[in-house]
Amino acid sequence: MHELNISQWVNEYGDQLYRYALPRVSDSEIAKDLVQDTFLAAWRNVDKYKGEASEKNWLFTILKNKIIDYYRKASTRNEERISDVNEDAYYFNDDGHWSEKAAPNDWGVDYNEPINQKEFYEIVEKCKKKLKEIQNAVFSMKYLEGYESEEICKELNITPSNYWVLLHRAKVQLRACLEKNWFIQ
Amino acid sequence: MISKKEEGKISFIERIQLWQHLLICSLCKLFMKQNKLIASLIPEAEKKSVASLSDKEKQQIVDAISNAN
Repeated sequence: MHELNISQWVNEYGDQLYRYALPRVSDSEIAKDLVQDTFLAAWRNVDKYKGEASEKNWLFTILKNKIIDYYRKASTRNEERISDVNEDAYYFNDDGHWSEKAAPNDWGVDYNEPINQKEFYEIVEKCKKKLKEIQNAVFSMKYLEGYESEEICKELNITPSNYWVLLHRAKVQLRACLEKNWFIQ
Repeated sequence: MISKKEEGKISFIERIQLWQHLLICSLCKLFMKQNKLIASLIPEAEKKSVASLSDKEKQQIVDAISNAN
């Protein structure tokens, strides 16, 4: 493939791929790198591309695999595991009840009503960015991809108890961050 | 356990334990409601995203691929 085609590709699909990657990794630099790696892998394998899927689907398939690889690496790097009690100590007392400073407050909204303001979703991204990579990986696989817990454990090579703790911590932190930065400012 | 219930991965005993706990833990009930809302909104973030790569960033990608040749 010559340079003109690469430019065309990047111009046509770059933003779409980036918008897909960004909420899944919650880091603009990492998302950009994954998009670049996707184009690079596509370009290197262009001979194998038989035109069975559309170019767009082909690129998205590559990107999805790159994102899973990134999650796996985050899981390997994850030193946290469930023994990290300090993280829970802020939110919960020794008896397992909510600590006073971190207890949820009623947001005074209809909890069944969707939120349409785009500013809210900017806050969501900021809050997700504060999660640890592995927490974000578990959370995104569950809520963006809709994977079952067994699949997530298998892909990330974590135990079910690790999974539930990571998901729980992600939820607790995200909820607290959204409460502080949006619902109750 | 709330997360487990959401996924339907909860045993009968756990279901009773959770029910008992929620009877006395109003904060947990609130947590559950709030998380249900958050979970329903997460996929919207992607749909509403207007994030894009700048022309410069796109050119950097093109250059990186050309140079990798």
